[in-house]
Parts: sequence; structure tokens; C-alpha cells
Amino acid sequence: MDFTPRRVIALVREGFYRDALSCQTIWLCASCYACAVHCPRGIRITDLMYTLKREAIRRKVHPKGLPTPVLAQEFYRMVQRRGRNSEFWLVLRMALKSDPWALVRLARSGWRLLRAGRLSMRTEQIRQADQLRTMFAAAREGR
Amino acid sequence: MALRRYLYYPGCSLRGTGVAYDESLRECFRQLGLELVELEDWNCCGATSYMAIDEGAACVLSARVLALAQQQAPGVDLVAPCSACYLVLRKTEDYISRYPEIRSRVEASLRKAGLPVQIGVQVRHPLEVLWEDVGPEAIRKRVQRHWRGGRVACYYGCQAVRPYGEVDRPIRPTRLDELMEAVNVPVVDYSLRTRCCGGSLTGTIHEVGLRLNYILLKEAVRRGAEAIVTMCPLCQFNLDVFQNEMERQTGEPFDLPVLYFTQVLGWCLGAELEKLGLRHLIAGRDLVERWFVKERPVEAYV
Repeated sequence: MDFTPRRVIALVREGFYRDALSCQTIWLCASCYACAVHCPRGIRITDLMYTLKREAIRRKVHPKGLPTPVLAQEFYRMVQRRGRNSEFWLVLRMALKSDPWALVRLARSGWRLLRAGRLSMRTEQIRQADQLRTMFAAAREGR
Repeated sequence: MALRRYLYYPGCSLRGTGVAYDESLRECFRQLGLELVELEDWNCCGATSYMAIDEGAACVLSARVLALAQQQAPGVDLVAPCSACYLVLRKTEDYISRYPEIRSRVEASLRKAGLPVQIGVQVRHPLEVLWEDVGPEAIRKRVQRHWRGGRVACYYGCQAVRPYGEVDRPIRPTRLDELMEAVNVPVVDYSLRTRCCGGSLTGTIHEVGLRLNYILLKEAVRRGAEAIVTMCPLCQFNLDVFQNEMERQTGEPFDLPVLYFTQVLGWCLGAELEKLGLRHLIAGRDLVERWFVKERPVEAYV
């Protein structure tokens, strides 16, 4: 974590967008919402982090080599196309695009999962993937 | 007990790494006379990734799930066992009612797809269903087997009990503990019960994810727990799969079974052993095999 969340918010308020958007901190937020339920002023910090993540990806300023934004984008693409996420293929694509060396470590847990009957290599897909695509297009047009 | 019917939204995890949750949930509900009908052609909820890319698309995605539920069985509650699915679906309902901009986008997309635009689906977590629709007292009366395992730490995780949920209160929830006590499973006072497991961080920024789970496991052991009971596929995955690796890195032995609450409950209620998905567990195999045995029902020797 390069900045504390407090500092990220201060950077945004003072207009240092580039610093706030290219930091690692926002990608360490796992969306557990602990801050949101504890904040006495009711500030939805998790949603603020989401906003910064979106903006960072839109401006392509997210830290390079960090797997989290890669995972988010691959996940998005996979579901956009098939309507479901297939864990095995998603993790594989993420590793290949961010840190191929991680495959060594992933292979170890993959093997354990395989032995326990928890690793499915099937590609999950919904029947009406075209319906979903129509919906995304309609939402983009607005109303 | 009258047969109650629910729509069931397994979500992507329960099709893969969380298959034990799917199997044990179905069996546990069957034992209690609760019927689960799988939602037809359900899609992914978008989890935490979609919100990080496109807010509108994230809401459209979960709105399709809600609209399918509305179309296939109006007025029937939708059970979402994965905490991420549960939170995302409820958050979407909240966003649709709160923000007109999102509402108009979602409605446009539903209309285009020929799906119902008016959505009034109640999204519920299985723990919430068991607590409210069956109740700990009724569950206590149906106990068929004496728990022969050790003390457990009940781990609620994050998203199910956070801002959009009604599973339990967000700070120091107790329902899972009380449900375990109802079936005579001893629990320890686990103060980290709602601390985050890191979610997908174990897959992305591995050292960070590993550290979060190390803290959770270490504290459970220190409190005297011999196993952890979870209610989310991602929590179970993180706590279960990396114990070997933690042992290698820290030199401290970790071999705790990480169970789904539906596995423990199902066993105590007399479920068939093969249907609880126990073979999918990775850590603490010895204990799992010692604890979960085919035992004669309590009545047989009392």
C-alpha cells in the first residue's frame, strides 16, 4: 500500500488526480465494506474506491504489472461474452497477462483443488448470452 | 413442517471451487423440508470486478438475475449462498431504487430483453432463511446425531453482514454461533469473525491475501478452535487452500478443517454423508474423517 486511504481521499480533494488514480492502494481494497459500516459520517469509502478504480482503468493509469486490474478486466470481458465466469480460465488468463511466474505457485494450489474435485475446466456459458449482450447495448444507449 | 419453496441462485463459485457448498446446502435444505429450485439460465452477478469497470453494466448484469427470478416465480424468495452474489444483488436493488440514472438504464435493458421491469424479489442468504423461516429452536428439535468433533470458530466473513445485508448485524454477529450451539456444536469466541479474508487478493496480490488468512487462522487456533465454520465460498477457499503454503512460510503447523455451516448442520440433522461434499475439503482431512462418520441416530441408543 503506497498511500493510506485517508491520503488517497486527500489527494482527490486537492486535485492530484493522477497521483490518486495511479496508486496501488485502491487495488488493495477487497470490498469488505468494513470501513463503510464503521464510518460515523456514513461515507461509503468502498464505493469511492470503486469510482477511483473505474476512473483509473478508463484513463489507463493503473499501476502496470499489478494483477488486480487485469483480473477485473478479464473478468469483465469473460462475463460480457459468456454471461458466466469460469474460474480456471479466468485465473489462467490473468496470470498470463500480468505475471506468468505466478503460474508456478498457482499450479500447486491447482493440483490440490484438482485432487479434491474442485477444479473445473469446463467453460461456463448461459443459454441466452445474446439476450445479455442486447441488454448491455440497450443500457449504453441510456433509455 | 410445511414444504417451503425458494428459488436458488448458486453463482459461479458453487459450480467450481465451492462445489461442496452447493452439495451440502441442497442436502441441508432437503433435510429441513425446504425446496430449492435452481433459477434457470442465471448469469454471473459481476462480483467485485464489474463495479470496478462499469457501474451501469454491473447493475444490468445483476438486474437480469433479479428479473429472471421475477419472471420464473413471482413472489418467491431468491436464495444466494455466496456472500458476494448476495451483496451485489442487494446492492443493485438499492441502486435501482436510489439512483434514477441507473434505474432508467436498467429498465431500458430489461425492456429490450422482454424481461419484467418491475422487480420485487427478496434476496436472502441461507443463514437468514434457516434463522428466520425455520428458527434455531425447530432445528434443535431435529438433531439426529451427536457432534463428535472439536470446538469451532464461526467465521461470518464480510459481505453478507455488511451494509446491504440482513443476515445479521454488521458488528459482532451471533446467528451462526447460535445455530451451531442449537445443534450442540461447541463454539469459541472468535473476535475476528467479520474481518476480511481478502477475497480475490490471494489470487492477485498473493502475499497480502496470504497474510490476512494467516491472521484469521492463527487467531482461531489461539482461541482453541479445531476447525473453522464458514458461510461463503471465497472465505472457505482462502482459508482452506493455502494452509500448506503458510506452514512452509512460517514454520507453524496449520491443519484445520474449514467447513461450510451447511456441512456441519447437515451432518447433525442426519444427512447422508456422501451428499455433504466432504471429499472436496483440503485441509484437516484426518479430523474430517474422524468427525464425520456414519453414526446411528441419537434415539437408537438413548
